Amino acid sequence: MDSRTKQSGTALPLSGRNAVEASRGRRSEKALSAEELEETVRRAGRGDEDAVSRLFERYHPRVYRYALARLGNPHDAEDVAAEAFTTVVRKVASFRWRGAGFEAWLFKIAANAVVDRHRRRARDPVELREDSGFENRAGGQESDQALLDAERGSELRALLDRLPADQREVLLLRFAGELSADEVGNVMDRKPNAVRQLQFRALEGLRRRMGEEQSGG
Amino acid sequence: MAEPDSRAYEELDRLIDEGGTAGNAELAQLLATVGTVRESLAVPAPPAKSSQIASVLAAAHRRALRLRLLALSLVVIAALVVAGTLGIGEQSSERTQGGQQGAPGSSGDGGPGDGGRTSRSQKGADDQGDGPRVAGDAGDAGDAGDPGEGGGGDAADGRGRRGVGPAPIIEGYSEIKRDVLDILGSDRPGER
Repeated sequence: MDSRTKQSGTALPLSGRNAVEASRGRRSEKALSAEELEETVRRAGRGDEDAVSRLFERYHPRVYRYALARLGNPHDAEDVAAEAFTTVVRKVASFRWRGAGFEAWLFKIAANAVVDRHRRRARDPVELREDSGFENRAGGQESDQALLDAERGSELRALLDRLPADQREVLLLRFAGELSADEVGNVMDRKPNAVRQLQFRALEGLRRRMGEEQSGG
Repeated sequence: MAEPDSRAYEELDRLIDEGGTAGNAELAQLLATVGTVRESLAVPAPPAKSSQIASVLAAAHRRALRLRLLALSLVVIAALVVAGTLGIGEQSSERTQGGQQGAPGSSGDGGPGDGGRTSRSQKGADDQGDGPRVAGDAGDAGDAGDPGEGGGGDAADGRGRRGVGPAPIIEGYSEIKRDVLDILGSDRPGER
């Protein structure tokens, strides 16, 4: 069983109604053992379309969520996810299992694609951010609770944006990309302990700001 | 606030990954914040557009095609190298002729004819590249002129003829070449 599926069993005074579920570690995709992943990546490197489809199916949601959290625009996030996978397919044959795993490599590519997208945006300011993509996640349910969740989520993302860039990146890779601290370290070229420290401080800063928001509002 | 030591960082990380009960109130609050962050980021990804999947798969298809072409090219190159090493390729089909017999001298003793000159084989006409050049055999020395009645006979001009070889013949070569050109989409290399 994936270790991330255990429940933390912690009280969540600041979270919404799904926070207990959300606090659980999760890997939403079908489980793929390390050996299966390695074999799938190897087959993808030989141009095996089934293997490529499998990788896409498994990692696309995570890359999309990460890109959406970084860019705030679902269209950009979709484009970035597709670009990242095209790059992966183009380069996967040269990927070597040395230290960093496939997931860290994939998210490094995704992070670079996000940076490219930011640059393109800067060059082309006409491109607008129509919607954040997070508002529709209630799946069309227009209940008060769904609206409340959406509003709370929007506030939290605003708080995330105010964090120092490296702290925010750790949280996004960790919780949108679902990477471990070691994998985040590989993506960011930091040591795992440095990532844990950034993670601790980011959560601390976020909690403090959330408290300030609550007491202030 | 006191700076937490690295054990607190590791403990929080372990609790995030593995779950469990936080040992103190601060960690419990941070875990609660984790729950909130996860909740806010848990956006269902839209189903990937067919065009996105198609472009990713097309990239995979192109890669597979390139690899197959590369493998085929390597086989062809290896075949050519082996053929060149074995000397199957460029050789003159005609051996150099020896010098002709010298004409009878008009007087005196006839001198020996000159040996035929070494000829060079011509480069085989082959688009796939030059093979090693192979020297033709030396021409045989011309026969000595017959003793004449008059002066010394002329030396035989033992010049060997230049060997003209046909294109190298390798079993199945034309077929391999045609396959490669079919894949490249042109009957001329360099026009892909």
